[in-house]
Amino acid sequence: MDPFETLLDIERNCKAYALNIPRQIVTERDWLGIGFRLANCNFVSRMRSVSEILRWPSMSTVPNAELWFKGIANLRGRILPITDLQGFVTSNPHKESSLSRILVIHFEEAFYGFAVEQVLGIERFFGEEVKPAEGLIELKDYMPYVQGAFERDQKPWIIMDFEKLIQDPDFYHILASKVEVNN
Amino acid sequence: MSQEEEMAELLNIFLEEARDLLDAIASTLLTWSKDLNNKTCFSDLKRDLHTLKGGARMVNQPKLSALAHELETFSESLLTQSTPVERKAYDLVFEGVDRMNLFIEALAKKEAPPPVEDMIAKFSEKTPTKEVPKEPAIPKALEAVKTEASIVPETKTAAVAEVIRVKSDLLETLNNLSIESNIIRVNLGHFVDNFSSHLTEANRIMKTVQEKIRVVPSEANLHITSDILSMVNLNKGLAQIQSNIESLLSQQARIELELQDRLVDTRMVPFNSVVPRLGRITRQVGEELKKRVDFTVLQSEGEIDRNLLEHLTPSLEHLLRNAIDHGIESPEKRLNVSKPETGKISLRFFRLGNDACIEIMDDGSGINVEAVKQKAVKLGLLTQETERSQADLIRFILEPGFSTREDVSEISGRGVGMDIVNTVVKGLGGNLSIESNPGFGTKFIIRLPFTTSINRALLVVIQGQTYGILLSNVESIVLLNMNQAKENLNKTNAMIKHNNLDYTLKYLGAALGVEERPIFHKATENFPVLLFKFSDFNAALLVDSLAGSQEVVVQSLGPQFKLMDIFSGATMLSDGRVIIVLDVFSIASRAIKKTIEVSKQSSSKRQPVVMVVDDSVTIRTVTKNFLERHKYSVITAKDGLDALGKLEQEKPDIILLDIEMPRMDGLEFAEKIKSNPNFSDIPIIMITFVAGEAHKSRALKLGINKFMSKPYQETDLLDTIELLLEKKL
Repeated sequence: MDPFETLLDIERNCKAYALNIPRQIVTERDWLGIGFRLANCNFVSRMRSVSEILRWPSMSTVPNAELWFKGIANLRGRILPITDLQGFVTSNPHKESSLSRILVIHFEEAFYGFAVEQVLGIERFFGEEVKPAEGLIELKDYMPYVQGAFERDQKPWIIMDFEKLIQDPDFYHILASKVEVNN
Repeated sequence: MSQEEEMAELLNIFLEEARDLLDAIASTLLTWSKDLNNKTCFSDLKRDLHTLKGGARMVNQPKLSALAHELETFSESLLTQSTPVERKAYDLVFEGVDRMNLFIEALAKKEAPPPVEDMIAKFSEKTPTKEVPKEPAIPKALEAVKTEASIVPETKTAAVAEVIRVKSDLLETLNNLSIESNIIRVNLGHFVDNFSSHLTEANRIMKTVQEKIRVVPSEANLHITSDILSMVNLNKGLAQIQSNIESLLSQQARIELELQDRLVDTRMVPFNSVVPRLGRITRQVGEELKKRVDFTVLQSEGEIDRNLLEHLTPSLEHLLRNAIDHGIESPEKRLNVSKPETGKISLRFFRLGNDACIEIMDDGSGINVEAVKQKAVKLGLLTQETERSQADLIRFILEPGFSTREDVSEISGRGVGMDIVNTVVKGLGGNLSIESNPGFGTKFIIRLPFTTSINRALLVVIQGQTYGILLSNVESIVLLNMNQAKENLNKTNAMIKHNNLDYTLKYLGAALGVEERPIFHKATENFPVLLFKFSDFNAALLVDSLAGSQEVVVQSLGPQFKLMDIFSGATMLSDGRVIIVLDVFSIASRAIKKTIEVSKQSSSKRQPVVMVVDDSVTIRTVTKNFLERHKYSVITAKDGLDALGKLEQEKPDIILLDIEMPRMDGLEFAEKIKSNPNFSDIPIIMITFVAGEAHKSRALKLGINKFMSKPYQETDLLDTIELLLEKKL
């Protein structure tokens, strides 16, 4: 058999026994989200609620603001208020690092930025069941804004509900104390 | 789209069209009123009414369409009428158009429209030639075509400039995009600058290399020199490219500026567009009060920012109402003082420098300064002995809850109004002044910055952070040296004199709650002090330094800042930085007025504070004024969320609470209050239309102290408040 024939033979064999290319099927049961880390826990937020992820921008602070309100930044000509997510929820401020990112959430015509420790990327959950998060985390403070959790490799992925957080009345109390001078 | 949705959308389109048509009709009426036999008016009326009729039928409003039909027929009859047209005819048409206005507004509010049968009857009597009065004879489809046809010639006659409708939020987006593109260009400029300095550096290095190469043995030298030469050429090429980019960037800057200007132009509307509405109000109020008023527009050419006009129109209406009610005397009285029976109100809109001015004048009795003074004394704003200038006294009518009228009428006299007008004008960055000539009339002058979108801002620095302050607010700037600044800031109630006026001095950083004192470096340092003149107080705000001034576009800070009035918004500087624009009036009134008031009131007994939570501004204002008349101090909030925010600032003694409110309703709010140990002792009176048993039992469980249903007797409310306050003590 000449070498070329052998090659053709190999090709034929390959084709005959090859597995089909897996078709990309996104079923409705797939859950797509952006994964991020906060207080040593993995969180996910629904893909469609996060409109953008930014590096730490330069921002202007708001006088007399609560510690969790980091300031306002310029998002391509739009004003973006930036909230320290951990600081807001636990009043334990997050320390900015090179891994810190801002998740931009679009809600009712407005944009809100939330600082998180690290963004882990897109996470996909195939038909896993959403479990109640109560048993999974001790992070009590987060409970009002948590929808539940997925479990993967025995580790919880907590589902963060930004929209709920944005509707929390406390979210609108930016000023640390009354602006007034007593003298 | 479901059929219902389609219908709803159609209705919205119709309402928009109908408003335009009614505006056009109103301005035709204005022309007609000046010349009763002006035939072009009738054909204009007929055409517009016809279009309106068609539209009304499309959206299934047979009553409105019938009324429009009668009016159309009537106008047509006027067109062919050989005898002179009587005033009566005009009045009738006016009344009919007015009814249509009410009808449209009711439709817009999804309320039950007013009856039209009586109007139709009036017209059927008057119309001499009763040709085919019943419309349904024409098949619907045919009628639709007819309507279509009537629109075509209309656009033809208005062929001056083609006009298209664009959604305002689209323009807003365009504006934002243009700003974004501007910022990118500025950043690009920075890179080009950077590039150019690198290039200069490269040239310098090349030169030193050339110098050094001379000492190298000649053979190697030759090769290297030729390499260096080609690098020098390369650098030259790069420099050429750089200068090309720079010139393109500067062209782009020019175009962007122009684009920005044009975009601002798109927000402009002719001031004229609001004139018909004002004319209508004047007529209505005149009729209601049985006063004869002639409304003339002396000057109304020119354009004004749409936003501005929208916010301002209710205030203009209020000023007109006031002018008729308080200013213009009754016909008998006028004859007595040998004035013409018909009162005169005139309006003027014009530009003055960078400001738009609106004047509303009446030839009535003027403001009774003595009555104003007595009222001010009664309200405890003034003591009998205080000497105040005429102009100062007049300004008291801008105080909340101020009305010299003893009787409260539907039109005015509730004291809801002038203070709101004043607040609105101030909110738009302008000011309101009053000139009054007893016996001859009153003139209100509103001055506003021409557009709200582009302003000049002064950049001030406080503790290293830059803030913007709209330059139109700043009266003047003076400098204090370090010692003066120190001395003044150490005083509790420091004052600065400038042009014979006293200004209360505060450090802006302290007023913002950032830092009590500026950092004092060296004695030669000067501190700028910005002077502001507000209607009822003057403020001097000391800042660390100024960082120039700049044209800025003030953008909203978003929902999170809604409850904060000390910031008017934010803006982007040319280098892309965001800075906060301060609302000096709120900051100063918080920081300064309070200290003034505290020093004034420290001796007197504290007034009980009532918080009124209601989503209707009318109810809030009426309740506020009523309570203030009875010596309560009042805080208002527009819903539960707003109220929670305000609770943080001041704890009221009692809360009046509505149930149905957006964002956070009354029950939810009450629940929050009652579960908070700091606030749980505040008595709550719930006032509502829907006093259902379910609500009641839930409310009582929450610990609501008292339930009252709207409308309530004012005395009942007062008694309840008193009772609950006593109990609390």
